[in-house]
Amino acid sequence: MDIKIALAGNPNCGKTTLFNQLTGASQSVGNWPGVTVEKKEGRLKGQTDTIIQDLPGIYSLSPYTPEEVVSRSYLVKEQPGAILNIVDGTNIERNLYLTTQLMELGLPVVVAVNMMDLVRKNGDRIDLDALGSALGCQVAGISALKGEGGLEAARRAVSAAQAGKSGELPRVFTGSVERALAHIEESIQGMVDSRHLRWYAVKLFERDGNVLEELGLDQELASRLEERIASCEQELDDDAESIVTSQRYAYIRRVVEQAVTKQAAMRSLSASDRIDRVVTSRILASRTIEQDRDRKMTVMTTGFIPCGAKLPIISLFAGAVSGGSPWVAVSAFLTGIAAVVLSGIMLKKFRAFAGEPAPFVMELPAYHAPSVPSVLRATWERGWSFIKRAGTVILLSSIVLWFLQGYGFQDGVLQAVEDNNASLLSGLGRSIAWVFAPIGWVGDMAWKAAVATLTGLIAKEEVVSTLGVLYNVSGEALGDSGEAIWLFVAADFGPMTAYSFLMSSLLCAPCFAAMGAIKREMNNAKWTRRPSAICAPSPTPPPSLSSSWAGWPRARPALAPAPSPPWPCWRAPCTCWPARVTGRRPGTAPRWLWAAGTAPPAAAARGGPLEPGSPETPLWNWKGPRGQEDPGPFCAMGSYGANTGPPGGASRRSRPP
Amino acid sequence: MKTRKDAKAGETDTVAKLHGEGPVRRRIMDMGITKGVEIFVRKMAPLGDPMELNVRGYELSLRKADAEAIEVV
Repeated sequence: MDIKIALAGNPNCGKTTLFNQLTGASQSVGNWPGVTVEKKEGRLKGQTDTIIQDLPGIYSLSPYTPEEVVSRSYLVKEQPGAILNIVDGTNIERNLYLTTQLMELGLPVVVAVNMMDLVRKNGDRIDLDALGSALGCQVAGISALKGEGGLEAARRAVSAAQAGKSGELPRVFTGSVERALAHIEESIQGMVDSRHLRWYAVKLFERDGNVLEELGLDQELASRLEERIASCEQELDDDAESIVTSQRYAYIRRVVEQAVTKQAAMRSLSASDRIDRVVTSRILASRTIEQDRDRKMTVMTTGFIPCGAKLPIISLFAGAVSGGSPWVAVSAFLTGIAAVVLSGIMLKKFRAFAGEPAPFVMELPAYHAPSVPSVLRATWERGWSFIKRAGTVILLSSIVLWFLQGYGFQDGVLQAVEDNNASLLSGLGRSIAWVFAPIGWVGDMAWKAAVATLTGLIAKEEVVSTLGVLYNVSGEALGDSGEAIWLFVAADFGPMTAYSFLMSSLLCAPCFAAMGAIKREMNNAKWTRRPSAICAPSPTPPPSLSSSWAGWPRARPALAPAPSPPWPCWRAPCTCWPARVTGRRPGTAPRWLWAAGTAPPAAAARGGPLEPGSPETPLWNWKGPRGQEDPGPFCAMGSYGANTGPPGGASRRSRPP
Repeated sequence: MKTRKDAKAGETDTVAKLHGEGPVRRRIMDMGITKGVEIFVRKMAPLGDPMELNVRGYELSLRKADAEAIEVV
């Protein structure tokens, strides 16, 4: 049977580098079910019966972010043979925080302290043996960047998985917290896998919504535990979550004092400070932005950021028309930034984007010099994707363009034409060029500019290549900034029209590829919260939903708590909430809607029993977009976690005709 | 009550209490800002927001609005 090793660690701890090193080319990349969180899997080099599962980079196992929910579900439900926990040795305190949580799962853990080379370079010392005996697990020192020790650490994880025994749990909690946890453990014994006892106890102590729903404790036990937690909170004058976090960090401090000797902290400028922090964000960079709304806003505005493909347009016009003035490029970039800021302010005024600002708490990782293989791998991936684009889309459209500009109807027959002003393309361009007259595109350049704008939608690189085809009478090879056609471009475009064309190219719709990415990200944004939402059917609707229950005639009916969901959780049983929504369409919507009197969608039926939202009793009055005919009452079914809002707009998926 | 929002670059303070609730608060705690920990304000972004903190030996970037939840002594 295959041995599964889960690779866990903080973001930027070198996990991906190690993963690449351990698995080489045998990787498969996909998504975790229902979320845009990337899922990577590969087989250990030289040991093909060992699967390395790369978990997303996380700081904690809280129920709040999709990455963390995916990771903890995987660890608890799939039960990998062992966890290989990568710890950034230069930032050991914060990294060990996750370690303390991973160890509670009761699975064998091997800690790999990464960046040992940097630790030594900083003059610090980490006593790996002392760390291992303090944590109660195996600890290996590695440097993923230099390729030191990674395989050895993986082998240790494999043998730990084969032995199947986890070490003794470290004594993280003290005093009344430990007593309360022991009490909780005792109470839930037999209800959960005995290996995960401590994990469940801590999560219950933290009042973790997902775990509370999963266990479905009976009333009496729940209130007994609640009493215990509350008395502990009172004693320590803090809330349960803070108590747990504080004790973890206090424990880590004790461990670090034993095992790590640090040089006096330097607060001068570090190398990272001196490196210019240039943010190169494009659409996909917004994946790590947690709040759906901020994510959408970022995605919407990225189109204005002058990307690499727009650079040739800028250099062409700066060179051809403005005599190489440096201000052309500067103003183009400033305009792009201004457009981002302005559209951000404008979008905030819309309902879909308005609201409380999202948390922005992020680590600014130190810069590390990349390793040669990583650079080569990244270069290859991006280079190859450009070659594919250049060889297919760009080449094909250039051929079509060449044909259209070289042929035309003369004397009633289709034939090659000398002057491209008589070509098919010219006719096509002229038919749309009038649209652009208000921004000063008139005369011979108008149709050429219009065509270039159109082809720019295929790919922004196409703008210059189109102008190259249209102006390159001599047939010379075209350089990056198209020096060969400068003269002809300058003859056609005046300085103002050139600038107007430049601006419109920069600010008009991005290329189809980017639009596709935007669409993909926008759709996904809706579903980001889905696993936590569906995995955690809640017996009571969240406050966000109940606030829109205006007009509900009876008291909220008692609803049966749903049984614990399986993983993957697409078919988790749902609880139905009768809801009559008055007023405008709420931002929150149930997962399934179907017309009263018709059968529910098959997928909804698979989700479990459908009462009380049965087809006979219409429960949801759909208020569609204004002006649209009201399609009548609907049956509704939904399942939302206590801590998460329902997936907004989800109903559209199953909205009946 | 003094919160981290009023901080100036170069100050070091000890956390007294964390206010707020839900994901933001949990994230702040997960990142190592707990009662009694020392925070050094490294610098402010050009427009004064966000700020860069040094906590437990690493750099953390935080919005002023979120920093308001951190009460210091």
